[in-house]
Amino acid sequence: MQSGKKILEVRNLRKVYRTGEVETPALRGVDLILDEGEFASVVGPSGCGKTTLLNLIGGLDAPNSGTIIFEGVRLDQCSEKELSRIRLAHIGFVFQAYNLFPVLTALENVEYVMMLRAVPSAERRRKAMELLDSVDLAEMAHKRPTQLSGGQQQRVAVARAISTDPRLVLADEPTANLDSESAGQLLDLMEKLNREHGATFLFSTHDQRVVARARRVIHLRDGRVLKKNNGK
Amino acid sequence: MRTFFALAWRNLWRNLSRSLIMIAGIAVGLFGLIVYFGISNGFIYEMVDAAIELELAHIQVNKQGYLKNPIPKNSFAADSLFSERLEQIAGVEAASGRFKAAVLISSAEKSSRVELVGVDPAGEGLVTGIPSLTVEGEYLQPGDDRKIVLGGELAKSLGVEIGDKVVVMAQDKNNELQSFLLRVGGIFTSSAPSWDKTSAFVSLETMHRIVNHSGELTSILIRVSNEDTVDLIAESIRKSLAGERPDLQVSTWLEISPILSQSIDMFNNFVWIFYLIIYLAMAFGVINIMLMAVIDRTHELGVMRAVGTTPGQVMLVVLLEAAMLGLVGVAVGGSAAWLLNSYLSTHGLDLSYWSSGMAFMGIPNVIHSEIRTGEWALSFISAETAVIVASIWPAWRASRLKVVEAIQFE
Repeated sequence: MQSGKKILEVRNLRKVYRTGEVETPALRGVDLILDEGEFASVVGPSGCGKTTLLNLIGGLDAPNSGTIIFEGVRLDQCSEKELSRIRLAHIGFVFQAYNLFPVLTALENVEYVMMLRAVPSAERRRKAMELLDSVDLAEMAHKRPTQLSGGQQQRVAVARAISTDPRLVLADEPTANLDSESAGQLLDLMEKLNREHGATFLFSTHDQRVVARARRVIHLRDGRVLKKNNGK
Repeated sequence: MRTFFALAWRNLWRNLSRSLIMIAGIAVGLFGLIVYFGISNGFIYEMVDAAIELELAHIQVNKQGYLKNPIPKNSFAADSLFSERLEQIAGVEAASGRFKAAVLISSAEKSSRVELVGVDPAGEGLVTGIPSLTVEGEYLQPGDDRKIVLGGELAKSLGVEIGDKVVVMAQDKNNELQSFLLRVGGIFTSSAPSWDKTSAFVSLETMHRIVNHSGELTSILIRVSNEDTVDLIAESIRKSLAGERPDLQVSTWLEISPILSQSIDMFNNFVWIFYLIIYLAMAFGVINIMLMAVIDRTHELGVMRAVGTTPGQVMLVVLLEAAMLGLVGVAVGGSAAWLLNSYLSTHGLDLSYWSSGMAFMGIPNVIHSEIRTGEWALSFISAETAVIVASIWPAWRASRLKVVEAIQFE
């Protein structure tokens, strides 16, 4: 549920990729405000800058100019170490390709971020089982990712992303590799977690069926946010 | 932390062939190193053993200046009680006196310059192994008069056998040439034919008559009960003799034979050079394989960083992987080396093919490998350390990956 409290503010964000002598602008001055509890999607055609925007907001990359203020902290001025700490403490990631650790079980994957945060092992095990249960995968706790379907892997990834109660969950095309049924189940899960845990969700997609489920849609084209329904 | 250990251990077996190659590299390197170490030690111990058993004993007491100028004039007065007193010192197992002089020994066929050594027949076998080397006839016994025991090569060179007579000519105390007729009573053969060719033994009594140095010795040979305490015991003997016999010096076998000492240093230096070469080769192999492992998992490492793993933790995981591979390699190589060393220490390594070269150094044809506990530990620890040090750079590279580029890496 939206609280009206601002969690993220992006101003005039720009990012240019350089390959040799070729410069490719990915973001050309993006403005965006996200409130706590929002369930928003960033939509646009391939190459419009969705992934770049999420990477910058998540502190995985640095902008060329502009500001990113997350929970009052200027991410664009943070060091690598500070960004690592902020990601660990406040931001969860769901990737298009699931990106579970193949040598860890589903349970261990969900526990992983809690382990990084030094949560005691008994507590993190209990919480990880609860999370797997909430995504209907308790019985698959001891299976490795290669033993899970795409949909199951993505649900484990979502469980991992919210395991430390992050303030913001960034999901980059989370349903891209899923069939319709699995995609629908995943979105149900994300909505449920948004409602029950209060985490803010920002996910990118170019799938209109997924867009329809978002309570807010941010349109991105050629590295710019279109004014229609793009936020504050 | 347990998760990092689990991650590292399970990652080892994701690419089985690569892990096995690295393990094999470490195992073979360590195996070669330990086996070389053991054989090198065997060479040294046999060399030292031969020198101590044939000539030096563990400790010698000589007149000051004798070792620099080993001539009969540098002898010292000592009776049999003197040796008995030395045997009372803690750690001394046996002591026996000798008188050595260069003489000319002649048979009907030939003459030869030799080192003639007058020994106490009762005590000589307690301080050297020479009596046990007798292959024909009998070694000197108490009371033997005008009996000589020759080295096998010397006897062959002179064309004499047991019972034949030889003439010994020497310069006595008054610089007069004396000649004595002696009967060959025994022939011995050692591991050093060159030494056999220039060595002969008579009783002290016979020697004293030949050189006219009654009641004098050129050296007292001392055997100790524990070779590791030779230096301490030598010091005890020095202290014991300091006030009473300032004319005497006490030397360990290492101090007496600088050539032996240099040979030992040479072998030891070769071992360190071998260590360096093996570990360098091992290190390059480890660097190569760990770099490949890091590159292969660039995407995964990027995800680890994305979800909050610090660069230091990424480095730790890679180092743990290398350390675990190292441990497995050390275990495999160490076990194989232990097996071979057990065999070689019991049965020895037969180097008969190179017998002439070995004989020159006084080393027998069969070398028994020997490795002490500390040397085992040093090999294992240094191998594992080399693996970990070699993997620091790949681990550091892994920690420095740019997150977003790593995630997008295919």
